[in-house]
Parts: sequence; C-alpha cells; structure tokens
Amino acid sequence: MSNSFVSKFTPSLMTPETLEALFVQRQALADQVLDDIRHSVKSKAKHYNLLIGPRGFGKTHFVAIIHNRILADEALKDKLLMAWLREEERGVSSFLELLMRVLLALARQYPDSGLEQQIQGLYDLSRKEGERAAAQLLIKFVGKRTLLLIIENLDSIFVGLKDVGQQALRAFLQEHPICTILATSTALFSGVSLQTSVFYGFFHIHHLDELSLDEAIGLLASIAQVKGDTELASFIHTPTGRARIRAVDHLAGGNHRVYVIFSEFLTRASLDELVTPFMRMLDDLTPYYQGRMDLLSAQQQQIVELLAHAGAPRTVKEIARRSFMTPQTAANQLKDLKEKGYLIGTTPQSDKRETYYELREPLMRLCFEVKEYRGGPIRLFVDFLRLWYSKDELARRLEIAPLTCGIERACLQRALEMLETDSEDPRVKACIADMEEYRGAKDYVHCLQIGEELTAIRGSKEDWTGYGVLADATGRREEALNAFDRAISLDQGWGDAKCLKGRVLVQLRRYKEALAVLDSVGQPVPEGLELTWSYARANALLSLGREEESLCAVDQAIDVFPADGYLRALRVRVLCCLGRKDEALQSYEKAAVLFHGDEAIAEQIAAFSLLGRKDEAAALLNAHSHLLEDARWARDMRIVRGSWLLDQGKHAAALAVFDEVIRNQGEDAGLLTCRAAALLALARLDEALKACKQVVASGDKKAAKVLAGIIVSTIPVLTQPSVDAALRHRWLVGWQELAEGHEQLQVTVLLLDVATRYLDTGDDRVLLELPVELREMVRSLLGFGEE
Amino acid sequence: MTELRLIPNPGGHLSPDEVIGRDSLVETLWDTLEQQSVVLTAERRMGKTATMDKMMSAPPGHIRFVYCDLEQVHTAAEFADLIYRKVDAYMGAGKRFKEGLHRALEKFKGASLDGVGGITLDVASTPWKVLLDIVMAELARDHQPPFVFFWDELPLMIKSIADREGDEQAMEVLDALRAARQTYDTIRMVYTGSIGLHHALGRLKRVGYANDPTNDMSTIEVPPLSPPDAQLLARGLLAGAGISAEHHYKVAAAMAEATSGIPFFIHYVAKIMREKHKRVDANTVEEIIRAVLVDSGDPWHLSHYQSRIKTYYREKDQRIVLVLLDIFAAHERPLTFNEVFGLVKAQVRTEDAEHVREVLMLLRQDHYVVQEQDGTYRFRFGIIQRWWRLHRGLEVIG
Repeated sequence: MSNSFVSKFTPSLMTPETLEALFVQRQALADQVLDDIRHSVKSKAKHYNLLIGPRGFGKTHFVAIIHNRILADEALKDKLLMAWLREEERGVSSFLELLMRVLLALARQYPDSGLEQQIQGLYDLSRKEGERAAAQLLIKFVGKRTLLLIIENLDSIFVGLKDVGQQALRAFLQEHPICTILATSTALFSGVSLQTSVFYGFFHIHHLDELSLDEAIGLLASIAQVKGDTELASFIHTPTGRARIRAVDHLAGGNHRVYVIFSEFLTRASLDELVTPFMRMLDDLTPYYQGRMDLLSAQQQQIVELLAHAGAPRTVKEIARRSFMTPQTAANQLKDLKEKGYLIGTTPQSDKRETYYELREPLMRLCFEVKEYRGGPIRLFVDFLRLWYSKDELARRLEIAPLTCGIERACLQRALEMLETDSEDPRVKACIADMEEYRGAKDYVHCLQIGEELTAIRGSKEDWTGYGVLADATGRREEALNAFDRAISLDQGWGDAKCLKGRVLVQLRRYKEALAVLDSVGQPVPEGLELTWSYARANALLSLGREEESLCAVDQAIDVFPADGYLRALRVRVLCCLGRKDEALQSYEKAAVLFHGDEAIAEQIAAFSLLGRKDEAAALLNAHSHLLEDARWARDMRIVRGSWLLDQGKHAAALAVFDEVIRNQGEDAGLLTCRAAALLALARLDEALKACKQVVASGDKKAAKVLAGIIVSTIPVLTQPSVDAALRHRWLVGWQELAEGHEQLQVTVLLLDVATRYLDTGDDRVLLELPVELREMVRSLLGFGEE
Repeated sequence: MTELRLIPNPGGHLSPDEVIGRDSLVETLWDTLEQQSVVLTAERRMGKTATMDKMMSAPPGHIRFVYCDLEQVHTAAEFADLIYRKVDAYMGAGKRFKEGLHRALEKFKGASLDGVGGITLDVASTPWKVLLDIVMAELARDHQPPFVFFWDELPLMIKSIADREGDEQAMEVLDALRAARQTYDTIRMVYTGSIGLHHALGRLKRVGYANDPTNDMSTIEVPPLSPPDAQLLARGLLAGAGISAEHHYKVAAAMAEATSGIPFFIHYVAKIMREKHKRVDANTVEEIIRAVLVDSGDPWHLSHYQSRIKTYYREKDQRIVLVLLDIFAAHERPLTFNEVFGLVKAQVRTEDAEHVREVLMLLRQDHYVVQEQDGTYRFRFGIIQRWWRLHRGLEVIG
C-alpha cells in the first residue's frame, strides 16, 4: 500500500482499506458496536450506541469503518438497511423532516428500490399527514429487515427536533422497534443527559478518548505506511521524532485530525520547509476552530477568546473580572467548557482553593493569533519553534540562518531565549509526568524511552545523567556509559555522572577504568552519591587486589554510613581476602543485624561461604532454596551451591551449576575459576585450560592467585589412567604459555613441569631440581610417601 | 439444555425471548386482564417496557390489543385521534368494524349523537370525547373478547395535557377513560409510564380533582428479579458477551446481589465487563459498581432519585423526604414508625406524625421505601441505599 489519499477533514473520501489502515485505538469498540448491530439484525433486540468526542476525534472515521464493514458483510446484505445522516445534514426542524432525511438517505443508498418516487408523493401532503405517511413508508420499506440509522451530530438534530420532535421519535422507536442507531455528538447534550428528557438513559454512551502518545505514534506509523513515506516511518521512532510528536500532543491535545495534518511536515528539517506548511496548516484549521467557537454561547466564546489571548492559565476570579461576569457565572461556564473539552483546569499543590484554566488545545490559540500576524517575531511562531526544535537545533539553525533573514533570525533568537529562561517547557513537563507514571508502575523500559526523549528535547547534563541511570537500571550498561560520558562532556567537573559511571564500570568488572573515574571525582563527593562512590571505589580496589586500600576505603565509608549493611558485607569480603577470618566474622555479626528477611539470609549464606563455613552455608541455602530463584541473589547463591558441591566431590553437578550461571547471568573471573576447578577435577584438561586462559586474560589478580592453587591441585589428576603422556604434555605446554609474564604463576608451573617429567620418565632425579620443601609437596601430590 | 447466551443491552430494546424472569408476571397480567384493567407500576430500570413487549409477543389467542406510546401526545384531541388511527389500522382487515366506525362518524357529523354506543353524549362536548367513545363503542360492539389498550407513558401525557390545555382537560381525559371501562366491559387498559401516575394525580387533586380514576383497576408492580432469575440473566450475559471467569456462578451471584436484581444494572455491569475486562471474578463486579457509584457522569442516573424529589414532591414535603431517606439509608436494619418519627424529630421541628406517615406512603409508592410484614420500614433497594449513603456522606448505623 502506498501513496493512498489521506483526507484530513472527510474520512468518507478515503478507501475502505485506507480507513482501516489508519484506524487506531478503537478496534475493540468497533467490534462491540458491530456485535450490537448484528444482534439487532438477528433478534428483535435493538441497540442504540452514541459516541461522544470533540471535533477531529475520529467519530466520522469510526462510523465510516462500521459502514464499510457492514457493506462488506454478505450475511447482512438482505437483512440490514443503512441510512447515514452525515454531519452536513442541517435544518432538521421536525420529526417529519427527520423522517424525510432518513428516507432520502435510504433512496441514495438503494437507488434501484423505487423509494425516490414514493418520497415525491409525500410532498403533496399536509405536515400532519406527511408525518404519518412518511413513518408508514419507512416502516413498509424496512419491512422485516432492520434499519441501521447512522446519525452524525445527534446533538444538532435534537436541537432542531425540540421536545415535540424528540418525543415523536422516541414513540416511533418504541412502537416500531425496527431501528438500531449509531449516533455521534461532539459533547453530551441535554436531550440525553437531562433526567427529564425522553432519551435519558436510552443510548449506550461511549466517550471517545484522546490519543495517547503511543497511540499517536501508531497512527503516524500507519499514515507513513499508507503513504509509502519511509522517511516518516523511521523518523517517528527516533528520539527527535518522539519529541516532535510530544510537541504535537501538547499543541493538539490528542486530537486525531491534527496528527493527520502534522504528519505532512513532521520530518521537515529546515525552517524554510516548515514555515509554509505550518502557516497553511493554521489556515486549514482556522475554520475548524471557528466552527467549534460557533457551537458556544456568547459568554463561553468570550471566555475562550480571553484565555486565547492571555497565553497563560487564569483563575476563575481573573476570568470573571475580565469578562464582567459574576464569579458564579464564570465558574458555571468554565465547568461547562471543561466538560465540552475546550479547557483544562489545574489546581496547584500550593493552593488547592484555586483552579487555573487554560485552553486544552494550544493550537486553537495559535489559529486565533494567526489573524494578527503582521510580521515581527510573532509569538505563535516562536512558541511553535521552541516546541518543535531542541535547544541544540535552534542554536544550529541560528548559526546558519543568513543575516538577511531578519524575521527568521529574530524568531529563532527569541525561541532560544525562551527555552533558556522558561523552565516550563510543556514537553519537558509532559515527559516528567509520564516518567513518574511509568516509574510508579516500575516500567523502566518506557522510562528509558522518555529519558531518551528528554535528552533530545532539552539535553542538559542532568537529562543525560538521568538517562544513564535508567539505561543502567534496564541492563543497558554500555548505553549508560555513553550517556554519562555525554553528561561529563557538557561539564567536565560533573561529579554525579562520574560517580554513576564508576559504579557501572564496577558492575562491568572494568575495575581499572572504574577506579580512574572515581578518583577523578572532586572532593567533596556530590551530595547523595557519597555511598555510591565509596562502595564502588572500595569494590574496585578489592577486585584489583589492593585489599588493604580497599579495607581502608571501606572503613572510612563505614565511619560516615555506619548503618549501611552493604558496606559492612563488603568489609567481610575484604577481610576474608586478607585471610583475617576472625575479624571477618566479627564484621559479619555487625553486618547481619542491618539486614532483614531474605536479604539477611542471603548475606549470611554469602558470609559463611567466604569464611569457609561452606557446610553451614549449604545447609542454610537448602532451608531457603527459594533464594536460588530470586533474581537479586540467584547468581551468588548458585555459586555458593556450586562451590559446596565441588567440595563435596560432586564435580559434574558443580560444573552444571557454574555453566548455568554463566549461561544466564554472564561470566567473570571468579566464576570461570570455579568452572576450571570443576573441569580439572573431572580430568577434562583441555576445557579446563581454556577456562584458565580466560581467567588470566581477565587480568583479575585475585583470580590468578586462585589459579596458582589450581595448577598445583592438578598434579594428582595427572596420575589418573585416563591422562596419557600426550595430554599431560599439552596441559603443561598450555600452562607454560599461560603463565608467561605472570610472576605469581612461575613457581607453580615449575612444580607442574617437574611432576610431568617425573611421570614421563619415572626418574626421581628430576625431583632433585626442586628445593626440599617443594620436592616434598610434589611427592605428596604424586601419592608418594615421605623421602 | 442449551446454554443461555444474551448480549448486554442496557437501555436498548430487548427481544422478548431475551427477557428473563418475567414469565409468571406476564401470566398474572394476562389473567388479570381477563377480568379488569391494570396499572402497571415499576421503579425505573426494572424492565417495564420489556415486560409489556414480552406480553405482547405471546398474547392469549382470543385477546386483541394495540400499543401506543403516549409521550408524543400533548392534547386530548391528539389522544383521541391516535386511538382512532391505531384501532383503524389494527382493524384494517375487519371490514364490518370499519364500516360501523365510519357510519358512526358520519352520524356524528350529522349532529345527532344521542344513543351512539348506547350512551348519551353531550352534543356540546368536545369532539375528542365523541371520537373516543365512538371507537370504544364500535370495539365493544364488534368484539366480545377483551380488547386491550397498552398505554405507555400515560402519566406524561396527562401532565402534558394539563400543561397545555389545563388541569380540567386532563381530569376529563382520565374520567372519560374510566367511563369507557365502566360502560364497555370488554375494553381493558394498561396504564404505565416512567413517572408514577400518583404524581400526575397528585397535581390534579391539589386543584380539586376528587375522583379516583383508577379505582377499578388492579395495580400490579414489576418487581426486581428474584435472585435465581437475576443470576440466570447474569450468567446468560456473561456467556453471550464472551466474558471469561473461573467461576461464572460466583460472578453471576455477585452481579445479582450487588445490583439488587435490577435488570438494567445487570446488563450494564456485563457491558462494562465486555468493554474493559478480559477476565473477571466476583471482585470485578464490586470494582465496577464502586466506579459507577462515584462516577461524576452518573451513568446509572442515580441522581434522579434525589433530583426528582424537587420535581414531584410538594415543597413542604421535601425536607421530610430527605430526612427520611437519610435515616433509612444509614440504618442497616428495618425501623418501626416510632423509631423513624423519633429520628425525624431529632432533625426537624415537627410533631405532625400524620404528615410523616403521608410522606412515607408516597415514598413507598415511589419504591424508595418498603414496609415489611411486621410493619417496619427499610430502604427498598440495596444499590440505591448504597448510592444514597455515598452521595449524602452518611455513616452506616447498625
């Protein structure tokens, strides 16, 4: 589908396929209305549906969809007639006139029915006779079929019918249940909402919602597809595209029609390309908004004009004073205007007694102001520009705007100034409100999307930092790092982003970089991030093998945050690494009281494991096995279990646990070391060697130390019958290559070399290459008695 | 047994076979109409029109009837004209009847009317009365079995005639209809409407109307659905609307109870479920009801229960009405008259127990209040009581 015609004002001009393609948000409602119509056809039941929505909300689109779907339904062909009174139907002033319009609509829809001629005969009758005859003709024409009356602007029709006509219509429907009705109205009206009216409670009323941002994106995507506009299709998914859609949302208040209009120049990049269509759009929309004004009473028009010119929200008192109304009258009119969808009211937290009113659709104001456009930096265009372009874009455009284009430059300059001084960018306000909503619902993916929009709309260092935090929270750590870098590039001294970047680098186990960025944070550390900074730094130091420094950093932090359990748990780990297990135990006891519930148990298990009390850790874990499935602790708890299985000699089971953790949560040097140990125990030397190479490559010194122990522990494995000389040699050569350049591994590789050669030759003179203490160790590992 | 499947249709026109729980009422109504005419009363949304539709969809073989919606009628002449045309259209195939009717009309045009239809007509009376009588007389002459007029919205018509042509004219219409019933024993009428006939009569009585134009008629009420019928309707709607629930029976029971068995509300709850809930349980019903009760748009038009007090009750009664309804809404248990009167006196300075009794009677006629067999009074419908309590900010008293 491409290059199809998309009508802004007359949906019925579009093909059924285009209408369907652009139909968003209301599929379920359309299905229900169709079910109601089918039920009305199949049984004697009759349904009456009324859609309420301001102009441009897609009411005609909706009824056109229903009309087309019914036409396409062969099963309804002989059982259902349709009469569509379109919004252009005016001057219905009596029940007779309404009957005539219905008959004429039927004659148009079914030109071969001969109805047209029968209608002609009605014009010769008196009004009273005509009404009876028209009703009889309609009843006869419908016969055993059901008539679907589609009536647009039912509110206007009811005004024309007056009480007498409405009563006659109600009586007709009651006495002759042959009609099902689908009607529309721009607002609720007394004919259906006054308890004394005869149609009170008669219709099932559906208030049509405005488009949400996501639905608007869906609509624009459909428009792009229908028009074959690939540029628009991809643009709307970019942060800039979303920011522009948000600008439209602010200007148009979720109005479907305005989105269709804006779709034409959403992608326009240059100001030249934008000005003409923008002004044309205002021109297009002016009669539409004037039409909406015509529907209001004189007092209401006065209020709308007042607010349009005010350019900012006003209280009831101010509106009353400037309109020469009593506050009571103004309040009543404002309430009505709000219900009709013209205004919105805001009550500030600081003073809940006052409500501030403003136009719901700022575009309406712009359309009124366009009449006053007389050159100069017109406010409406400046308003539009500051919503349309980001600060960066505006600055860029100002730079390249030719000096000869005075008005253009003035507009850009003013828009830029407004963006810098006006903290109330409505798009930012909307983003923040949406963000709060999503945050409340813990929907971080959407939060992230909005965070990205904020960087496009405003792009401050705070926006980039916030985006980084959200990216981190949703596991997109590389993106988070980029965002923090952007924030730092805007302010080299921006400690917040540095602290947060350091934390992410620690999470990514890029400890050296983490330490560097954390150490570059100026003192004092930004308020609120002291704990983040301290914890990340101590963690980095520990992982880099600088245990003493880490302990010092932890202790300093504990002085400031004595009640933080995580710092104390980190202290336990540091002390364990330093081999100071008694102190670690004491520290653990202090840490334990700071945790509660599952958190306390998980910390206890981790501490027992670190302190070498693996049986206690395993027993506790068995009793609280749900921790293995809890995302917060699953990784640590599974490693504890794997380590315990390894100790228990259940090597295959341990390996399975480690593999699963790596598969689900990624690898690190410690985990690879554990895996290598399990593989070694299973005599799968080639795989073990590969795992060890990964550990060494990670640069983790702590892991390298553990590896040294592993090398030694492989010596007994080499005596197993399944390990032949060739495998032993591959193993040795592999380790020799691995240990190259790693001082701490040299002695252990020497032991391995001696043991291998001894096993190859059985010549005990080889052992004499080692000093006595190492020789004894090798002999013991090879299963010999003392010398 | 085939599963009942119904489409939610609150406020719409129901197919007679989809009207649940009214079979025995319909039978009672037809049985009564064999003998006398009926005033069919019902609280709003109880399914009065649906009950009449069900009656008319399967009348006893020998009974003939016409149905007229009288809200379109504003004068006595229009009324008589409508009756004439309806009967004329109905009897279209009955040539003998038509000829007789036209002969009678011709005779009237000759200005000699005495004796037409066996009664003496006042020549000076307005033509509508003559026309009405001629139609009734011809119907009675031609048909021995009962002929029933279903007159929907009759109180509205009476009110409209009183507004346009004066209270006298409205009284005359009511008297003429009563006279027709007295004179022609095969003519039956069913009066019904969305406002109580007693309100229309109350206005006439205040200007001196002394007759009781319905004392020859049987008053029959369309009650809320019994719990089993309300549950059956709810289950049918859940099935028809394709609403999934683990325990349909539990959900249906919750719908029946929470809506006090009022069919419109049951349809409405099902409709909302169809629109907004893919899967429901008994809590969903409570959620929907709670939302409806506090919805500023008042989708169940419950504010009518308060606003109509200003329209239909005398000014001097209005304060007592509100106080009484507040008392009944707040109390979970039924109250004796003495208890009620004591509580009224705590808020209104009055010693006029008779006045309070009179207002209580009106409240019973308007289905706000019901009297138990032991003489105590309580709010009639739990759902309306709940709304009243919420709307008026009342605390529950045990």
